[in-house]
Amino acid sequence: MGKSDFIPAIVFGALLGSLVTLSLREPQRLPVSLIPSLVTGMTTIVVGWWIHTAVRRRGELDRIPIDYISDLNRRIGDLISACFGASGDDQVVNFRRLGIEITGLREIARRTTLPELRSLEQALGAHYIDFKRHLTDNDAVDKGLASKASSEIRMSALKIQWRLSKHFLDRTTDDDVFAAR
Amino acid sequence: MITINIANEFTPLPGPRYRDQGPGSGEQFLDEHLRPAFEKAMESGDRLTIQLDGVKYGYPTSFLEEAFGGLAREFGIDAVQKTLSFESHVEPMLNEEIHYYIEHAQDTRGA
Repeated sequence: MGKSDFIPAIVFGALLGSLVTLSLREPQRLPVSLIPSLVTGMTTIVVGWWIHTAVRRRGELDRIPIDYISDLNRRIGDLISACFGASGDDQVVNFRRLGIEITGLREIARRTTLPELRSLEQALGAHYIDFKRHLTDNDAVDKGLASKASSEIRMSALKIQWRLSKHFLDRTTDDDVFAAR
Repeated sequence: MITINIANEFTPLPGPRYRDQGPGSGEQFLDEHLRPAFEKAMESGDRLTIQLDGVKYGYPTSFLEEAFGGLAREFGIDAVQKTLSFESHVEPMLNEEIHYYIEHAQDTRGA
């Protein structure tokens, strides 16, 4: 937070303080007719400050790709559900799309400077293979094991998202976040 | 280097595990394309590259397991791993998936 962020709070505090002090010490000098305007002015300052802070925070979040990872995980979750609900060519297509999304998440995890993500992204790949095998390979179909594997995919993806988000927030530049290639 | 492009040389619609389950099966691919090319590669000491891109929908698990797991059951896991390589720009996970079927060739079928 920069020093300029405190200016509206200081102005607001000063105005309110002056008003309260005046009303206590010299209530007869209190400009009663101006109170509505003063309240409106102070409210405007508060709302403006709040909007400014929200926009600024949004800008900071946009700078780091946390939403991107959330969207990726949401699509992975949706595609897992779609794989359960489909059959034939539709199911093959859903698994292809799921594989592509998982590859995307794994690639991000691989490229970070966070070594602990390696085992998580490898586990994610293994759970995907298990899920596909237990849902589609005639000789290995087992809905219970498929369901368990799908939960493991979600869990691994969530753990990766969690650690990536923390990793992004803890660093100030892209150079610190991703390993040099 | 010897290559097989599955979509162009076999089918853009890879199908089930066995011939009697439908067209474009893993068994048919193994018999008509993969085994002959693999034997040729073994004789010449070349690598056999399987190009996976270009199929219409994707690869069913049964197809992949029967073709590549079947090859490993026949020739051994080491020989298949040393000779085969895979190319997939669209689905990079396929490479890993096929290696899983090769590595678990003895126990995958009927698991």
